[in-house]
Amino acid sequence: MFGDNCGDDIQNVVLDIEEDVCRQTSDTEGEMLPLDQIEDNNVNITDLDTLSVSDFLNDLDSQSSHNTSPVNVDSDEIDEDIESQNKREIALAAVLENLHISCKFKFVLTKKVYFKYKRRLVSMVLVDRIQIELGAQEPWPKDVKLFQPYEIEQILLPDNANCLAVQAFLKMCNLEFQVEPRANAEAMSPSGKVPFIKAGAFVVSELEPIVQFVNNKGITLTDKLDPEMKSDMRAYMSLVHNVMEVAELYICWCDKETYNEVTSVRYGSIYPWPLNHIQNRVKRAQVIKKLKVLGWYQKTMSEVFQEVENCCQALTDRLEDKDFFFGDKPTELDALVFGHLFTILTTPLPNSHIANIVRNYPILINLIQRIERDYFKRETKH
Amino acid sequence: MDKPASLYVIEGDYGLVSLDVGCIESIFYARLKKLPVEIKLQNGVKSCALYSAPSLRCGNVTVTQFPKIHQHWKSLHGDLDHSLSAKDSSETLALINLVTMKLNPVLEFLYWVDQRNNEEFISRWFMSALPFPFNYSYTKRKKSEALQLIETLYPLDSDMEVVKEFVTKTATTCLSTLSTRLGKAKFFYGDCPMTVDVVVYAHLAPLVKLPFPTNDIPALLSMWPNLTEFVKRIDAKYFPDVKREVKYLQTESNNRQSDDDVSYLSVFILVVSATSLVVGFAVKKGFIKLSNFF
Repeated sequence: MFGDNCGDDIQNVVLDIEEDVCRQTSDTEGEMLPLDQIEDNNVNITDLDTLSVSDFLNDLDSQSSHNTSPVNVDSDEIDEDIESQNKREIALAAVLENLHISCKFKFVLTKKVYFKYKRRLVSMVLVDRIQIELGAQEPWPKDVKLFQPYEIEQILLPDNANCLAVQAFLKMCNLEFQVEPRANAEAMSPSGKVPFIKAGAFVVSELEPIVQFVNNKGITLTDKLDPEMKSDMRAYMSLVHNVMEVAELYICWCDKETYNEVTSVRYGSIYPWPLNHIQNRVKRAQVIKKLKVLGWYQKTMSEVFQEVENCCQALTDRLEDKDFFFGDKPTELDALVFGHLFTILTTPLPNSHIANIVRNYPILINLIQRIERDYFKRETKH
Repeated sequence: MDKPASLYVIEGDYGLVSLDVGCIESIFYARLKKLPVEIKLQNGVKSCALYSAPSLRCGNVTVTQFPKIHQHWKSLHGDLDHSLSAKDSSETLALINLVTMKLNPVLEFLYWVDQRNNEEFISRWFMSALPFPFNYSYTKRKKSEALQLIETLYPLDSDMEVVKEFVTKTATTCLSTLSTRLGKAKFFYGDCPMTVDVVVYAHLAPLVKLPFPTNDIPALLSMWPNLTEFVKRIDAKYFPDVKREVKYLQTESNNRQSDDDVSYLSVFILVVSATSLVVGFAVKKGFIKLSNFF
């Protein structure tokens, strides 16, 4: 949720850049520079409007001046440089080899830009920017797979909520995908959190990055919203993340009854005997550490329920009597709320107080039923 | 209540009422509601030993942390946001969650995790602002808390440079969200600050005012001038009495200056002790006989 999934981006960038290079070559055929000029480092790159890459590299100049030496460096110096950096950057060097191959198309990308690329790619923010800038222009691939833990015997409340949210979002966008249950989905995910999707060569995990990824393909649920509404939506999404998800974690791992009867059995189900207890302990320690840091571990059960109630009240007040949170079309916020509340309502737990709290808000229940009917029932008929 | 409640806070500097976010929230909220609270600075051994900032003591009850203090005041003095509609107060909750979830880690990172900031500025400041044994325990505790927070948020990245990129990204999205929401308005709702303004101000003001040695994240703020304006507006209206000058770290540089030109007192002490030593030696060895003088 904090954009901590960037580990998967390297591969994406490889393709991104390659594609972009190809695309730009075909786009800018008319104004391509003569070869000798390309060899010359003094080509004024800002003149080329179509080369948007150079623009953003330029504006990065002002931001990331702290670790950059002059631009005109020899290529062996760069190689040394890259060797000395960590493995992520080595991977990026591979990216650049690909870029180099693409550059055979007497491409307008001058040496200067190429070297700039090489230097600056170390920054992960930049990688994100490239993604945004170049966009994954190819259409939605056919064989998209959504990986998640086994729904019946393994998955836990918070994970299930997140998986369902992503599924709902993809269905709202009318995108095809297959759910691929894997016992070790959590370990496979680049950010350590489920669910994640594999679309072509891209691996993206968690709701917000997936939303971003889909938006890059030109598919968005929020194009009709003005910026103010979008910022509102972001605030509400962080409310749901911050309250619902943390409350679910608390109930699963800190409530003794739930932990003994549900969580430990389900989480340990995929491991053989001695390992299941060890894995449970490790995971529990991690969750407790997270809750402590967020200031939730000190709370009592009733305080947690109070927080959930406040959150539901806030969502009800925001929804009022509209069909969806923003107008008559669903957004990712609706998907997120659906994922969490639907899971809370349908998961049997020894302590069902949290489901009872949600049941007190008929407006939210209506929303969930509407989304379920519109987006989930449809395909069971086929 | 006979005695007014007392609020224990960390001291302020650089034009801030306090260097701690929770303390700024508490002080600002109290001023806004004109609550009868006596603000006590934590610069004595006793207050440091008994209370952790910010903490409110009224009668025999001690409440710590701003959310709880807020709850306490709400039950005692009524709600600051009572004029808001249900929809607006639900939005308040969402915005407060956004700020605490996204901006708080950014501040913690800047204060305690970023090595240069911490060593050259924040730790030094707290070392000189708090009394002796507590400055060590406080800085150590805060630092480990912040490190844990960052570790749990970014469990797969141990490299601080990478984490910093993520933190910068989070800060950017959060600040742009706030800026769009605020727009050209004076405050988030109408002409009076509400709880959400208190929370946003408390998180923005340190970014605006503190002179961090590594300045790239605070410099992001210049992209959204309306947020800086917002902080200035609140300063002018509610904290006109807070001094802008630097209290602690400057005194240190003063001392260093006086090291260069030696003070008369130290010269005098040196001269006296040297002469008495020489005279004493001479008398003892019998170079000078005291009987000569009598």
